[in-house]
Amino acid sequence: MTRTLGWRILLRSLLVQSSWNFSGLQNLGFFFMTWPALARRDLPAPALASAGLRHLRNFNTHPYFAGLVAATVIREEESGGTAEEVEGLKRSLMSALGAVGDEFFWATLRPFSAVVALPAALAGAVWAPLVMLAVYNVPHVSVRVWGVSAGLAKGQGVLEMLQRQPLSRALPALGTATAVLIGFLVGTAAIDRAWGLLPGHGLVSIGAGVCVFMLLLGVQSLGFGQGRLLATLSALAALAGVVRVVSAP
Amino acid sequence: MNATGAALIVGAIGLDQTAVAQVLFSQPLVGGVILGWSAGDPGSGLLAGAFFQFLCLTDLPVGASIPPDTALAGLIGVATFLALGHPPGWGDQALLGLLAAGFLPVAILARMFDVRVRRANLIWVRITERLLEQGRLRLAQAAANGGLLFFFLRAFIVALVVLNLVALWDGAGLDLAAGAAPAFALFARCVPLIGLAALLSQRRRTGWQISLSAGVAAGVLFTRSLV
Repeated sequence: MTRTLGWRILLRSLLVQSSWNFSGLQNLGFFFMTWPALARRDLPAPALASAGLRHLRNFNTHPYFAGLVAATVIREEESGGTAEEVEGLKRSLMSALGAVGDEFFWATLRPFSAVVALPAALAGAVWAPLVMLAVYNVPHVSVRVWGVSAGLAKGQGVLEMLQRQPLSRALPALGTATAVLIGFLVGTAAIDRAWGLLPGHGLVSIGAGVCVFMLLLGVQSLGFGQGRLLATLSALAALAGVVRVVSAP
Repeated sequence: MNATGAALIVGAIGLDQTAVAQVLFSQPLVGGVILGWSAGDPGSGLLAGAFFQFLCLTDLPVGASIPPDTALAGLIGVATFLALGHPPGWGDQALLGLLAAGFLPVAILARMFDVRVRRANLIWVRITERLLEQGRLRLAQAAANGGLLFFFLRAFIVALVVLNLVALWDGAGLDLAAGAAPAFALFARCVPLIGLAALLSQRRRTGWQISLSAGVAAGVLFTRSLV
């Protein structure tokens, strides 16, 4: 396996969802990622087309792990694995990694990177988005690079590495850190001159901010979601606004 | 920056949501500063981006439906905030509160377009298969990425429609309704708390009360030390 092939898979994996569709899901992206490996096999044109069509079967995983799956599939194909074996490996990898990636990146790291950057953003620091990008993308890009190189180097052996669950082990710490940062944002906002509910009232403003936050948390925990809450409070603000305009002298 | 220019930038940034790389350029905090730089006012872009980011900490589930597209709605909210400028009688917070009231409908509209694009992308599967069967291998690779065009158009069209409506409106009547501004400013101050509460209610773990309390205490002490 060449280093060039690894880079090509890695770069092409950035477009794995470019044509996401309800029928084959990420199938076009998988075909696009694996094509450089198929093309270098010196197959006659009909065999090459047939290999391409085989890689157009439906495919769906977390996008950051797509390169790992593609690299592993290529390695197994080139090591002489049968079509059925390779397809089975692809299916088991894509479903397992889909769940891990969604939980770690979408549900945990993305909100964490936002709450890390938001205090600086509220203080007016224009560099705050860079913090968000760095906190999120250092692990993200590392996982992409590691995935492609491990898939090409180890093939099926990558399963053993994944069983150690390195990402899942970081989840409790990230969850705790997110809760602390949420508290920090509530605390700073509660007495902030711009974002405090009762700016300039010290302890009263802190109490009001924390009470409103706990009330909103309780309401959402009862199943009254963020969308409904936003719609209800928007309507109340509009109503209060109309009353103020109409009753103004 | 006119509506078309802003919509083009939103369309390009919006590609990051699904189609390209997903490095978080499409999140309102990051995209807001990009839009702000483009409009010559990065500070306002940052303020509006941070505000809408609070509503994008989680998805917005409405009933059992697929979540609305909050990231695109946030970017369009930032572009609208920049387009409206500073209407008389309306401070930044009050204007953001007013725009937050329109956030959910835009997010639902964007989601509808998203579903249609994902259905329409099936055409690229058919084209790629046909090109492969015909042995036109380079074209097949290009067709496999045809969805980029649809995903770009999705964000561009939604942004163009909303921003042109905003340009037509141009804040007319806002000066007469300035009496309503305090109500929307108070609502705007609740929005970060709504977003944070939504995130915590989804991500609660054992001992969250202690973590949260420690964070609140640290936040209060930090802010008071600055004051």
